Amino acid sequence: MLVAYFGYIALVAFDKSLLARPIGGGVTSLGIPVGVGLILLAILLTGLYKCGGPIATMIRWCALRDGESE
Amino acid sequence: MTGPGPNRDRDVRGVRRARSLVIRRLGRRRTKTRADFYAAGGGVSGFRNGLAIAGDYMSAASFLGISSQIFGVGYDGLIYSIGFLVGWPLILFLMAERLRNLGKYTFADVASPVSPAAGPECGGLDARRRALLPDRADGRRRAADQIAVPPRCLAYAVLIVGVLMTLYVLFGGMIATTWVQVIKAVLLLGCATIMAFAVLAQFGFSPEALFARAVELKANLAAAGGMGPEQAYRQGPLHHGAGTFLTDPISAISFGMALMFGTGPLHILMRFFTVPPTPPGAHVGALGTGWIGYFYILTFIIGFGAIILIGNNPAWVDATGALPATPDAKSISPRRWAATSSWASSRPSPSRRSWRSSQA
Repeated sequence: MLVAYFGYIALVAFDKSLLARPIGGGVTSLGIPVGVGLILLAILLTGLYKCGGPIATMIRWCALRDGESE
Repeated sequence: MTGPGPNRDRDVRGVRRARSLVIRRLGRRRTKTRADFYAAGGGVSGFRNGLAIAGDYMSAASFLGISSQIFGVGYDGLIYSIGFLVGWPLILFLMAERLRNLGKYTFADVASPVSPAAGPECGGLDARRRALLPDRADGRRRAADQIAVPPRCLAYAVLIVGVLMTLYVLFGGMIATTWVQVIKAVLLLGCATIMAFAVLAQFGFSPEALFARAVELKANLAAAGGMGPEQAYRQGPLHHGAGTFLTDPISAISFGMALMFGTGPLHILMRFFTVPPTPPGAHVGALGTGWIGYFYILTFIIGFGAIILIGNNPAWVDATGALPATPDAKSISPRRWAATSSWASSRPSPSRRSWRSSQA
């Protein structure tokens, strides 16, 4: 998330014309899919984090159980 | 959207106020212990909590602020949305779970381990009060700014709302607060969805057509202001960094960092104390992020809609596309509202009853 965000900010800082470039022959600029993509990435990553939590708990729990049985 | 904007705004807020009074009463009936008061007994369901987080996050201010930022400077407004949103997953990843494991009710439990006897309770109360109150007071003040009221009434309104709000937090605790945020989130999301849908419907659900029209309009306005065609085109809302906003790299980087770290919503983290211990808050965080992200995308569409529907309407802006000189809504007299709203046409001379003219 940090990498993506600072990449984006660096683009804003150093190469604005790239983001302002129209895509697909229309007026929609490259910045729009990139910006919306960042928002979606944030949602996706928190979603992964959500799934990751229970999985990590399960792994820890399994390790604990195996440790006890020995 | 060019219809009775302020009236609808007022209606939405009136409904919200009335409903929140009922909710406070319901909430109070269920608040019994200290844990109930601070953390709603740790028993708020994940879905409700996700909505409450979203409600905490997306205030009327971010809605009005970001859509008007897009109205003003175009694409650059989206940077605000992204910066605000990105701060949230980071705080979630790095702090939320740790905080929940260490603290009891608030982050002050974690921050003040030196004097465990008195510190956490007082610090907690203070932090909680600070987190709950100014946010709300500020919101109400800004809400009042939206409505054309004379200054004297405004003072009374702020006073009454302040008293109500204090009672509300004191008696309702976290349960009442949670419910208020849930309803705020539902109202904001619902209204924004309807508005964005209506905007897109005007352009056959093609964002491309929407953007094209906005670019054309801005270029026309700039040309009317005496710019050459090339320069006028560069004023377009998709020209990132057009105008004076974020012109050099240093300010862009500083702005980006300030957005992400500076707006760190610590008071929202307290919501994690209201979740049952398993699953550990992440579920709620994901739900919240989903709603917030969706909301910001809607705001972007609404901002572009505003460029076209308001920026093109002579009742609202002058020939160069500028809003009236004083930015707050109070400066727009009721006569002006009346001129733009449809119901007024059936009434005899609404300007006679204008507050402004009766005071002058």
